[in-house]
Amino acid sequence: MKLKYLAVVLSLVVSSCVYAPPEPEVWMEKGASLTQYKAFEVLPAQNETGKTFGFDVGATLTAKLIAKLHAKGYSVQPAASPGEDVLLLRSSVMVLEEGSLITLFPEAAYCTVRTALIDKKTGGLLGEMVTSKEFRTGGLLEGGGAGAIGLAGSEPLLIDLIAEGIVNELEKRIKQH
Amino acid sequence: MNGTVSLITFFFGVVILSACAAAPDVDRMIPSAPPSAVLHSDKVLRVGEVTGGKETNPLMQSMIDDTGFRQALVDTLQRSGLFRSVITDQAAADYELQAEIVSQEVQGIYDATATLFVNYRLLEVSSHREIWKENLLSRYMAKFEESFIGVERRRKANEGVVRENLLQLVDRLSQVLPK
Repeated sequence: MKLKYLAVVLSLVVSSCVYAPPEPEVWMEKGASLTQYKAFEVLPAQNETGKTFGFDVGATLTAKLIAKLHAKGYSVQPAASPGEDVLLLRSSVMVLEEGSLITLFPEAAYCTVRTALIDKKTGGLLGEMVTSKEFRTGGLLEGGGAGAIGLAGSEPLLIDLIAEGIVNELEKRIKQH
Repeated sequence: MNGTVSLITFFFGVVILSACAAAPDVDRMIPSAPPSAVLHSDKVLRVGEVTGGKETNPLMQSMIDDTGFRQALVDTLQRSGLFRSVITDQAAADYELQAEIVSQEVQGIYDATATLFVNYRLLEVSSHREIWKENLLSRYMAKFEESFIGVERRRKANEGVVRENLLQLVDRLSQVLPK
């Protein structure tokens, strides 16, 4: 009986790790800061994986970024007020691999996105981030969470979590003192 | 009986040792194919600091470290013919190249995909002017067939991703260096 409870708790803990948004690795230009930006323009994200998928990878990432910025209360162009400093986001999906749930040889699903942060007024590059997320589908410990992901198709969810990671990082840097 | 125990011990010893992660091999991080467009100049390049790399923990996974990456960078630039000479000490030089490894990642179980993101800066030594800077992102997939051992495949992925990054670097330098 105790083992059953332990398995449920372990499954919940592991699932929360599986669904956690990743933290991007960030390079910033010397002296650059994002604190003055409250408005964004999200350029159409590109699929640079060299592969095609069952859904539009670039459009999905673009839509997710816009939705998550809106959800945090930021204005996204063309709705930004005149005179506001606008930060351009230019993203490319560099790696996207579909996972496999075949139990004998479960393969991970993973994704890497590169995002350039550009000041709209000057066109200057302020920084770049690389954001990666991996689901080890069907793995011994991740079976519960990743199994559900696999059934629904893990790639859009990977992109959703990556978009969340990017927006969380932007918010952290905008609120930095 | 003793022979069987020795054999089993030997077998597990080999398995354990082969499962230890190793840092990427410098020679295998150097691109073998010469870049397509190469500009030959009479300038001397100093390869400066490399930062951001991580040391390999044998119990974890293969990582690209500063020393190995710098050595591969120096050897690649020497072989590229872009400069009259490539130095690492404080002797007189025309340019200095600095590199910061911003991100390195290896993903996947059977086919391991490595990504490497490096910030490069080229400075003119006499004026301390930055004449070029760029972030280069490279990818490399080490297929399952390359090695059946996971840690070995991850090391090969790291070696491949450095080669790809250095190829991009030589290509970009050949375009941006003053003719």
